[in-house]
Amino acid sequence: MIQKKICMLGAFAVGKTSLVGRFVRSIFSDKYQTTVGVKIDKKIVSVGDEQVNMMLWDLHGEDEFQKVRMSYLRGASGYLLVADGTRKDTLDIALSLHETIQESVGTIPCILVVNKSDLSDDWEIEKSELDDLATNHWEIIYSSAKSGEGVEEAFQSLARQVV
Amino acid sequence: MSLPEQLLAYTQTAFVDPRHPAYLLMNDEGSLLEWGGELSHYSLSSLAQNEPVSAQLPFLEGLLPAETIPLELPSVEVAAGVYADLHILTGDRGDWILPLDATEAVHEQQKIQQKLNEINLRKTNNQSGTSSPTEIPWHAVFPTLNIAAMVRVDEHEFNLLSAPPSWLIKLWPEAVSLRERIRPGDVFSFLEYFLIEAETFWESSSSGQLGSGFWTEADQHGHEYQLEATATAVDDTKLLLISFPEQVFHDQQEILQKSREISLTHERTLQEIQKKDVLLHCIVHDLKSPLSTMKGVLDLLAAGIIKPERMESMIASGQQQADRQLGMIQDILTAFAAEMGALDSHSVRRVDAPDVVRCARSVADGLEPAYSRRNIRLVVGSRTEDAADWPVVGEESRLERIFTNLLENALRHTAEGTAVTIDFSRKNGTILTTIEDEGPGIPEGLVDRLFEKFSQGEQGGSTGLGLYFCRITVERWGGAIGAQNRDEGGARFWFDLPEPAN
Ligand SMILES: Nc1nc2c(ncn2[C@@H]2O[C@H](COP(=O)(O)OP(=O)(O)O)[C@@H](O)[C@H]2O)c(=O)[nH]1
Ligand SMILES: [Mg+2]
Repeated sequence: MIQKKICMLGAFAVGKTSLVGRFVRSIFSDKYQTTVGVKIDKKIVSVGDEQVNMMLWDLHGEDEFQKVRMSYLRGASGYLLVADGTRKDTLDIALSLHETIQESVGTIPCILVVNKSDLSDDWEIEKSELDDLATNHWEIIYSSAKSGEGVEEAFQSLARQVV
Repeated sequence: MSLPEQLLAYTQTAFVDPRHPAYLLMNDEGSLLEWGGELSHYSLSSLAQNEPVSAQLPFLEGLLPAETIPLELPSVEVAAGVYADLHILTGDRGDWILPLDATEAVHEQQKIQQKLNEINLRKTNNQSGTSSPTEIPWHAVFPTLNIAAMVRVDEHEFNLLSAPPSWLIKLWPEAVSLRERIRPGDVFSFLEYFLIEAETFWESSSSGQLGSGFWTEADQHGHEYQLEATATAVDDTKLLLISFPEQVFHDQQEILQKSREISLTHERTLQEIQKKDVLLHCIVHDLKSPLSTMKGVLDLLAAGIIKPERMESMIASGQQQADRQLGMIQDILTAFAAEMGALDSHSVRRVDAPDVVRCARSVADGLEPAYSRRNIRLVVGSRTEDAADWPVVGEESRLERIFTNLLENALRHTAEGTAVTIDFSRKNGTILTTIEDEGPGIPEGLVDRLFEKFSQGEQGGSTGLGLYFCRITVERWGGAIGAQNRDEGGARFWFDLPEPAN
């Protein structure tokens, strides 16, 4: 079976850990526990008639206290760039992380996941801004680790791209 | 043999005098009788006659009474840094103690000993072939630090240097029996990647260390271990150390958690402030429009250009706008006051409890003119017996405010020539009030947010705070409030309140 390393990247508290929890274990918790360092989870998905072992690297969030080490991306086949739809600056952080990655690791498949779609009342990231990105060849998926919306779709779509 | 006088004198000056001779005489009971010579050299200045010697000369402790006399005690430290050879001999009045300085000799001796030690050390080190300064079995240190230490023997292959720590056995049970040529990268995916980096490090530099940062592993019971790997090298030995610094991790996590929670709260507060700014802007905007009408009326009156027959309606419209503005200001005040908990008193006693039906009728009577102006019928409790009591937990003036808000809301949103109907029903100790209109209903997407503080569903004529006030007040009284569109068209607003206990 082929194995692929996938990284979860984004600002802190956008839902990286929750998305992995939802995808791998079908669980969600409202309680926030910040991730320190790296945690690896695995899940086997089917792409066509191929089985892929997705090795999901949940990295700690990027902020002034902890920078994401680029060495963690060594050997990665792709990554999910996660933003929190209710916090506008998390999109900027995601995009600037993307730039750093391109400079140090190169271009590998990635998907922009705009998470917390269940919190539409507090939504802050303008749809027009995302539409602009979409026309710039970004694949964007709206997700909610809480409701499950878009989660499977995001990981599946990336799996298809990395196989 | 006895030496000639001259030689004895020579011996005295050449060998005895430079050694600071002194003497002490003690009797058979061990009390000091007599003393003399260079006692100050030995820091023995305040001596007392007939007192026990052992108490006055601490360095003699345990040496007296001497079993064999004469006795020579070499190199005794009599004062700090001062050594003496002590000679003890018997005379006819008691025992003599004769200290002769030996400080220099002792120092010489120490230097020689040190040299000897160094030579011995070099000899043993050459035998074991390492540069360890002591003979501590240093591998044994790692388990005490909870570290799994390994020596690299080949690419990705290591020998365990010592017994595996317990956490390693929990995560990797086979590690108990394996000591040689183990492949930690096969077991810990994280290491598989870190070791690639480590290989480069070992190749390029022989000093310093490469840290992996924390990563988390879980054992078969789901218990998590936060580990950290370090690649380092001692001479040509490449070492991989994996530690489980539980406390460091928890401290770090706690600090990060706190700081991030604070950042999140800060962000949210800023968002709230922004929303409040928007709300404030809307409120001011809403308050301005009735004022423009009133000012227009006043200007026309001042100019005296209104025809007498139009005077009355002109003034009426000015008054109407003033009422509207007053109502809005009232909304703002009550909403904020309710929020601050300033209106907290309410009755739960049946005798003081407001009657929800009577309250509704009284508010409806007040609003009757406004309703009939738009030809809208207001029907209150057509199926309700007036004789019955309808007491609810609450406070009368605020309950009236709730009805005013809901009925004004219905009036604003329903079409001319239709009806607004209020009804009451009782169930399980609560009283349900419904207010139904025949208007266009609540716009899709707004239903959920109608009762929120910043809901601005209303177009003009309202602060958007009225329904918010209704919700927090009803909820404070132990009730609930809601709204939905009716199947037959129009909106239904409802709230229920508990009946007070008897
Ligand atoms: N409402 C909602 N909350 C979410 C969602 N995803 C994550 N959260 C919450 O957001 C917080 C941060 O999530 P976490 O997964 O730890 O974020 P990470 O720092 O990116 O790993 C937690 O309190 C989660 O419960 C979501 O889709 N909807
Ligand atoms: Mg996390």
